[in-house]
Amino acid sequence: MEVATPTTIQPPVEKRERLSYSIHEAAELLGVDYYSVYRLIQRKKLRACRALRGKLLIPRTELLKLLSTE
Amino acid sequence: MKRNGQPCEHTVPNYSGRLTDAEFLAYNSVFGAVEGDFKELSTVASALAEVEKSFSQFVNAATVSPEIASEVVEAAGAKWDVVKPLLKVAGCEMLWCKRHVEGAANYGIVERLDPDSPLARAQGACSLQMTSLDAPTLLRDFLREQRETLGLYANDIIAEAHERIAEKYPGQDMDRVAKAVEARCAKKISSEQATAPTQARTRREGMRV
Repeated sequence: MEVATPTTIQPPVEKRERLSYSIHEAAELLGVDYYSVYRLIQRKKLRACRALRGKLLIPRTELLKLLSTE
Repeated sequence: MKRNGQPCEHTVPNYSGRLTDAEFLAYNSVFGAVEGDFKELSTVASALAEVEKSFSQFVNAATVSPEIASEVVEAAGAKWDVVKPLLKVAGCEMLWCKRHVEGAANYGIVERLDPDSPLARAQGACSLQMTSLDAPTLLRDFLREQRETLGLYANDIIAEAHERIAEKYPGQDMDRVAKAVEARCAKKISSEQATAPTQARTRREGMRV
């Protein structure tokens, strides 16, 4: 008797760009420590927004702006 | 003393209240999640306290220092003599600097990043953060700004703790756990607030080279 092999259905892989990053993620992307990211926010070099419970998030566009060499 | 039938017998650092077994377990779990950040916060707070304690030595080092600097950095199109490092965290140092412009001493705070970091590659490794013709004013302004940054950092640690509590203990009253984490952060950043607000004679800079 032939047994059908169950096939796993893979959801379509979507390449979604993140809209925002945590401070830790931003620090890793910028290659600096966490405190330096807070300094950038404090000095208004990096704009941050707040999540539901007040945690700071960095919009992707802000990181790109800072990492742009132009 | 009992709360919800449970004895409140656990104490945690910098919190005057006592926690029940469940709260104490929650506190350890939540604080464990933010401990790395708390350690970094503590390191910066201690470094700032050290500068506050040695305020006059830092001022003297800039105003009465020999004319030959051990190190020179370039920031905002000018060469600055490094007087002393003020603050060092992984991949970044804040340097207490001076230079002479037309015979007058000019003081500056220069941030120097790890030159291999993506931020330094994009924006330059050295950036002039603040300048002033008055060394004590500049140092006070620097300390005040760092204290504000520490406050921002501490608030984010507290927000993270609230998020963890909401995720791990939905519908449970963990108010005292959140308050205990808040108290510990507040205590850490409140120490040795020696800097007084000053007149805004310090120029903020932002250009990297």
